[in-house]
Amino acid sequence: MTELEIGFAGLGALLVLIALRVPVGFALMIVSMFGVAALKGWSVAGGMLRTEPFDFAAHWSFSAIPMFLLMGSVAHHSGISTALFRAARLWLGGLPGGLAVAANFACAGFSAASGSSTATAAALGRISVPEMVKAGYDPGLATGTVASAGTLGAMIPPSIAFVLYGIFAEVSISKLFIAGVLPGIMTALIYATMIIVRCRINPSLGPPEAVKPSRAEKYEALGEVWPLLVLILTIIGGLYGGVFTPTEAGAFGAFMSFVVAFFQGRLTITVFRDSLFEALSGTARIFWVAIGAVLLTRFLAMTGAEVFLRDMVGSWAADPILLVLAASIIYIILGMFLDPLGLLLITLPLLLPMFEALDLDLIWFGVLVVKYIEIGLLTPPVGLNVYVIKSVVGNDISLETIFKGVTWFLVCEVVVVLLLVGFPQISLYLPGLMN
Amino acid sequence: MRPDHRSIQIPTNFFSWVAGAAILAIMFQVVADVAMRQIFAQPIDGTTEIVSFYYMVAVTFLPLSYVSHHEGHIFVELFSRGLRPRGLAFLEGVVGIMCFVFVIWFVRETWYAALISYENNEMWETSDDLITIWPNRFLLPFGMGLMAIYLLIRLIDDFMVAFGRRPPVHWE
Repeated sequence: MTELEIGFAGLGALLVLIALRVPVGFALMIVSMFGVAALKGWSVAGGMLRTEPFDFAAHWSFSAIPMFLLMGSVAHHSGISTALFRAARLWLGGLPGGLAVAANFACAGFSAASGSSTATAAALGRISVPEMVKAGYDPGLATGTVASAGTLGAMIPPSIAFVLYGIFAEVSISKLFIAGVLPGIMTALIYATMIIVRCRINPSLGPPEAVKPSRAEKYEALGEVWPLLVLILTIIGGLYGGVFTPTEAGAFGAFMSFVVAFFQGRLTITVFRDSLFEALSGTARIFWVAIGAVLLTRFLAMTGAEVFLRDMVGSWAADPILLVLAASIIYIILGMFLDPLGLLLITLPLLLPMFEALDLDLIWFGVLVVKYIEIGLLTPPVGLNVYVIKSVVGNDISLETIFKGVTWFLVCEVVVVLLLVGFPQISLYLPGLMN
Repeated sequence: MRPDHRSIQIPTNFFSWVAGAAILAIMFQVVADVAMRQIFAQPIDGTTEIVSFYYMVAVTFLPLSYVSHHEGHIFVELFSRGLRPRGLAFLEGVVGIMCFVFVIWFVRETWYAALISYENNEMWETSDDLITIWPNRFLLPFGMGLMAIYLLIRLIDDFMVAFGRRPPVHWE
């Protein structure tokens, strides 16, 4: 076998192992190390195991990940997500499908405190889906809204996906964060428009709230969420103005979440312990896969697969749009089967060299990749956010109903992707101002 | 011994609390560093290195056994969804052997790396000092070694379920 053939055989073996339920991190490491051993011998593979995982973990930029996870966990366990939904409900409940619109914007708001899509969907799903079902909402709309709007956690800063992408693509994480702001808001607005239009045409899908809240109630609800709004603005403003690095923004955000929870009387021992262990578990899980991805990158570099793909692109992709189209198809197909993190980390070593070869903007590509990951969280058979919502609603609503419910949101995602591809300035305008 | 036995859960929880302390330490030290820099124009020396080499390594490797016990490793349920509990336990047992053997190799290599680092008294240069980093090299074999023990206990349990010696249990 040539080195290149070993490389592609390794990728095939990787997909087989993942399909056989081998955890993604282990599959990446096992394939990479056996591949390196086949190419260069066991001592070289062992040498990589001695150095690469430690060097990777001892990375300053990565420390943003546990900080953002901690911030999101504290925000959720201390009841910020509940307060957000309550405020959104009082302000938006009167619209057609108002509760769904409120859940959508509460997810967008919570995304600014949480870097994870599944965490956002789980947090708001527990709160908003039962309320919507109780108010007579269509179960598909209720669950589909939270499953889909939960994906905004990956796009609206802070975002774990952007941190990982930024490190692998060697682009500014702060710029990636800022690049995600407009696409995230745009997605939330398009979702809301679709919900309102559907519910106006067919009011039985999401009847408006019967009781109109008073102005005093509305402002009182805002009083509970203003610390979060200040926190979000400080973090995004600090990143935008270059005052904070992403790690510093994360640490500050996590610290302030504890302070806010403490002063609101919500920081119990249970909240503290659950938040800490949730962040810890999330960090170790993400890093285990990421270390596997690093080893895969080294293995593929040894096989010459990256050079092969780069040359292949050079020979046929005169038009960058063709490459974007090819990448879209790859992400949509793999996104149906792989978890978002695995998808991100497996594909980047292959696709980044191609985008670099065509001199495409890697910030723009990062936004597109994260958007595809969001879509992958909703598409069957492995739509992770759908399963998160299913675990929240139990046997009351079937998996098929939830998948049916997200179909309308996937149509919106097609519109969003077309806009992001057709108008790169949506992603690049704000980062451009940072210079 | 079963996967929830206290002799494995006690060290698992201990490692997790140490890692939890490391997360909090990142938060406090970075916030203090930013405050010192913004208010007194005097950042805390070595923050980047201490966070990277000490806290991050602890946060990454010490909770691995905890993650394994709480079904935290990311996997894809594609073909296994239709399997009966005993069939699934058998598949998990086979996957467990694969993972266990790999982790043992991983532990062996990182243990050697830690010993070499210790013998050389490995250090890293900060802006105006040197920090010792060899102790944290040992966190890799410790964290993964505990995970290997957990994986072994778990895979034995999986095979006992697969061969009808025990009823299936959801460990968490």
